[in-house]
Amino acid sequence: MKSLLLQFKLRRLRATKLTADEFNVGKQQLVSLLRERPMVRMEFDDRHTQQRSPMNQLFPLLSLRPMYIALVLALAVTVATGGGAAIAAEQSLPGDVLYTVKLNVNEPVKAALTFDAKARANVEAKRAERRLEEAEKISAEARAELEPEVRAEISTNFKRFADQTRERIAAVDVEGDTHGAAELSVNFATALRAHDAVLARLSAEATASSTQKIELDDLRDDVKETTLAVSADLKAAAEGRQKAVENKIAEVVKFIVEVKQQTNADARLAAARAALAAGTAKLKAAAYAEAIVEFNKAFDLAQEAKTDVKAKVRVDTDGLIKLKINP
Amino acid sequence: MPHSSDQQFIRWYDDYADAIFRHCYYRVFDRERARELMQETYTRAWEYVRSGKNVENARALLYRIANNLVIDEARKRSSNPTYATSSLEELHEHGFDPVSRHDHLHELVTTDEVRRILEGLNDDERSLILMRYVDGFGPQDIARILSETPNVISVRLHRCVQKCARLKSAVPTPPKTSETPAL
Repeated sequence: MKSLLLQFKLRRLRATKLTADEFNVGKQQLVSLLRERPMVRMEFDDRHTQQRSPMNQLFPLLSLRPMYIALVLALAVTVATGGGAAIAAEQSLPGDVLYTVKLNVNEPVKAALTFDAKARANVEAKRAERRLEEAEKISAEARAELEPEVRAEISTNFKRFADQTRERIAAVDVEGDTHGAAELSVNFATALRAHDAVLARLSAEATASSTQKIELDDLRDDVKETTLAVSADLKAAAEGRQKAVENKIAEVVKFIVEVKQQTNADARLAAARAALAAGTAKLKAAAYAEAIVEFNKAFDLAQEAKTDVKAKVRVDTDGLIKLKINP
Repeated sequence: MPHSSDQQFIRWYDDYADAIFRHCYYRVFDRERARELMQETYTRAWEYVRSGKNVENARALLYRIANNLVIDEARKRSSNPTYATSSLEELHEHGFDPVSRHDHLHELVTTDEVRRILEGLNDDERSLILMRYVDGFGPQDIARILSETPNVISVRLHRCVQKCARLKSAVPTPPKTSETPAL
């Protein structure tokens, strides 16, 4: 309800407009622009495709899709430098001249070349981890220190890519690959814990009152917060799956009772219940990925039990009893 | 009689200028800058059209250009503190508030509460909320504009709405004044 009220209030922002003067001044400026820089090609129609050359088909993509812009930039950098700049950028750290190439060209290009949803999630996770690796490298160098501005930049980018990773994992889950999404979450959380251990060691080695220690501890807070969020996502996914299985078993039990058939369905249903119990135990033990595996097994067994009953009823069409099968 | 390209383009201005301005305004919270960004959006759109490229969806093109301009603006602001916008309080101290073209008191619909919630979002989140609930785009259209998949947009929108709800709970209710319309 609160969300609907907020949405209603947001819609009322539509009343925000230009004043009449502002609108007319802007229109006049546009008219002047059109006069100073007239159309050079034939007239266009924005509803029908006309005389589209292959380049015109490509260029809208190249002009408008950021990932293609990144590809073009990467190609330009490679051609201009013989590939040296792009390769050198890979080793750069925040504050280096080529760091922008690494962050805004090299990495987006890698992302653009992955089309599978799981692979994209992995790429984003790697981008988040690389930020932590950069902080670790800077801190480990004897001649350098992790300055507040650099740490802030690393934190901002780490959180951005971590959020994108979680979104991509959620998208994999939405597509139906619950086990794949769980695996991604587990792997990401494991990697984050490993980085936290490295940052903890570096923090312990730093002088107690040094800027380095403060910045490392701040970064560790970001990592811990993200790890908790990933674990919470995984737990929510496991609980969601548990609920789905409970509903499925209840549905099949009701179906079997209605049809009154003794088939292998009972055995399968018993196995489904056992798998549900095993999954619940794993959930309580916070082994969320294993819980999801058990819940998926339980779901499949329950569905097979239902299919068994439906098949049996189809076979029993000897004219004596014809049962209506509910889908 | 078929429309000339100039007339067609001016129609885009008539149809979408308010929407593009509004979108920019609630991203940068600076009326003058929002007007400039809106104007720049149309300038770039004209250059795009002028070069002979085909436009299948004018509205999507304009939003995509505006979104990229606002993102650049946000990057400039984050790297240059002197470039930051005024806070909501500073704007109000200077008597600033968005006004509808009709200038009727009851149409001053922008409440402090909603603006504070929007200010509590980061730029990407604000962009999504505005496109969905103010500009009226569906997740598919937003995905096309931002070059993302609809699933990712749906997930992000869900999280943004949850964040808005949390921000709403944290926002103190402003005192009612005789000039503030009740919502």
